[in-house]
Amino acid sequence: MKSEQECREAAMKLELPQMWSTRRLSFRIVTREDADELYEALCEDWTDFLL
Amino acid sequence: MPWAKNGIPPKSVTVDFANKALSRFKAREDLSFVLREQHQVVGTCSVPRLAWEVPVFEIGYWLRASARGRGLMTEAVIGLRDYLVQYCNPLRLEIRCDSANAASRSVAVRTGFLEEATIRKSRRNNQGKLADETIYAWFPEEITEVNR
Repeated sequence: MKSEQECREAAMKLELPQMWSTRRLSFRIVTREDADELYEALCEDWTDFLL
Repeated sequence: MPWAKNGIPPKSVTVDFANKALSRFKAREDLSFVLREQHQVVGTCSVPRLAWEVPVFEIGYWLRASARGRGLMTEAVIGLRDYLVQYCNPLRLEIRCDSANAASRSVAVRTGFLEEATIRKSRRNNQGKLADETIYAWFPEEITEVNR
């Protein structure tokens, strides 16, 4: 049986797309350039957002 | 989300998260995607826990207030669920949410996840108060027309 570390190293060889889209949404891996916009969105209504 | 405790976190927490996300993606430690609708950030949908040795993955999400009520997070979770099935070969996917968060639980149900258990007093909510956690699970072999 492979160890947890071996499994993760094998996973690092998978070619996972960093961006794709659905009908209305685009997905992209978070980068440092997203920080300001993410924080603004997060602050919009802190008391009631989805967790 | 572990960082969402005791009220709004300082901006440095978001900056630190954003700075590390790409390296964590490359290390397969977590997969965090920013969601945009017509260029506006509406939230994130992510995989904060990856147990590759099983493999089991947990999906997490949040949506800005002004984007709610239009099924965007349902669309996002289905998108990420299908991404994981296509590229990561999961045996099991999980959603864990605050039991008192009806909106979050509703997303899990609408995307075909089944409720498995509620773990009492096992987390802090974003007000810092003790909360129960409900676990939902989804298995690739259980794909039906309803949750496609």
